[in-house]
Amino acid sequence: MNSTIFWSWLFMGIFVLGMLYLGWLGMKKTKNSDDFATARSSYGYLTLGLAITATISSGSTFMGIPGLAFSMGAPSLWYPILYPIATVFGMLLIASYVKKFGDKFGTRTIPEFMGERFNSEFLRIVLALVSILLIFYVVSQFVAAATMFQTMMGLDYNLALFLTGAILAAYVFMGGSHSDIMTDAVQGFLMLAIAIVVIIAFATGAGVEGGFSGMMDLINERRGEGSLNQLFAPGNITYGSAWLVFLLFVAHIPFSILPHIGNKFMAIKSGKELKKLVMFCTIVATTMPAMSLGGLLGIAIIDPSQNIAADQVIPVVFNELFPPVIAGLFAVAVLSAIMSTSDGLIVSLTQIVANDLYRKTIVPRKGIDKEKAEKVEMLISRYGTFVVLGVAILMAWNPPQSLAVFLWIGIGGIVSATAGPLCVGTLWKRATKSAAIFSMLAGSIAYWIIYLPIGFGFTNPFGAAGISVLIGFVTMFVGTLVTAKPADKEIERIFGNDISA
Amino acid sequence: MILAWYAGLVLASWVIMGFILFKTNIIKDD
Repeated sequence: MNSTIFWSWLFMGIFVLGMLYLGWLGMKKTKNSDDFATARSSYGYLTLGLAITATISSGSTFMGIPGLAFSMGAPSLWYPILYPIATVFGMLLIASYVKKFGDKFGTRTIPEFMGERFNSEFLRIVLALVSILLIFYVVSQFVAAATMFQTMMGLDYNLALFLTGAILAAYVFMGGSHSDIMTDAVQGFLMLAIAIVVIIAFATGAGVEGGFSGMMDLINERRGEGSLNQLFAPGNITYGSAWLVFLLFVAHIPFSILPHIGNKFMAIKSGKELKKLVMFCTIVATTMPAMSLGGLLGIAIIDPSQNIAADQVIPVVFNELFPPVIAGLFAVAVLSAIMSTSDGLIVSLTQIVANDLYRKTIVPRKGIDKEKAEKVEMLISRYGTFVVLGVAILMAWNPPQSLAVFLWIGIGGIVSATAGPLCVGTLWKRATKSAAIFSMLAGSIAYWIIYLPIGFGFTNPFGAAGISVLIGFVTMFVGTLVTAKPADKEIERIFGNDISA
Repeated sequence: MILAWYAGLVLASWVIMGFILFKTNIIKDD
């Protein structure tokens, strides 16, 4: 066992114990199913800001995206720069409404929020069912975690799947959203620390003779002029033109409304804290993906004869630059990124059944009393964790070759479905239920037709989602104008006394 | 240089967001 692997295991052990402790603390704070689902009004901006930023970032922030910068150069930086800016911009539009609706109507999930905004069971149930596709997001994170354990720490792939699942199961089962937020905040802090180390290493040209300018000369020499002085990569389906980059930006505007991110807005203490939260998220969420600069540094540091896989660029850079005790921290940061995305997804997936389907749909129809319903909601929430994890491990055992396609069927479908009803509908009081239903169907169906091989087979998910989000916006706007304005009483129910549309 | 341009874009997003959040009433304090 080399020293880096030894330190990785040591840090990993401390990390796991820390996560279990936070899971236990979460359990002490979880008194009922609402606590499990939302951790309502419990946290300040620093904790939640780190948690949300960690949730937005995933395993690819540390592996895939720097890998792309290593192989493609500057044009690939559009993604790490623009997706956080678009996400926080979307957050600005919807976060305060998610929080207010939660406080006023007791909404617990994003599908429930959408259903309540337009007084529509149809919208809630359809969005809840579409959200089940987020299981592919969990699967992709599990595949990344197991691959990381395998390549960096020499662990068997299948054993690594169980290990990842067991840690997540323990702390999510115990404390639901409380555990999710507290662990994510610590994970976010670790990820930010690693990102700052990489940014400083890049800015100083660490490990390269001649510092920063020496590094730039080497990059130009090894990758040619195109890597650093071109805004777009001609012919590339994601970064080939300004239009494609614009679509990438648009596709991420509704990103914060994904159920595992949007539900965190309900956990902020107050409106005042919410302002600070959005500002803090803006700074941290745009800083963390600057990890990708490590990919450029890797071009200069790593001898071209080594012929490494692009995804491995940051671990190799760490091994080249730092002593094993620091390099060993990297594996923990990657696992943090993966777990902070997975745990929120798991809570959200359990709430599709516990809240959107059972509490909001079955309980009122069957006339189940409050006390019994609460018990069942808690049982579904807690034991649903094992069901979600079991399915994710089974699917990750032999991951489908088209996993990325499945992943984007879910993410793209949800952002396209929610763009019109939520980004337009929360700001515009006149927005109507019929327009919201039409916009949701138009956005998501357009996305699947554009993206899937049975339609146009446009394989760039950001481009397909960007076009569909625009379609969602337009149908929401036009649909509202051609349908009757909601009654003043309905606007007042939702927005309070100020009913000016 | 392109990298400076990218950095400017990120810093501009901080300034714009700060202005919208703290100088307008989009998110209320209550």
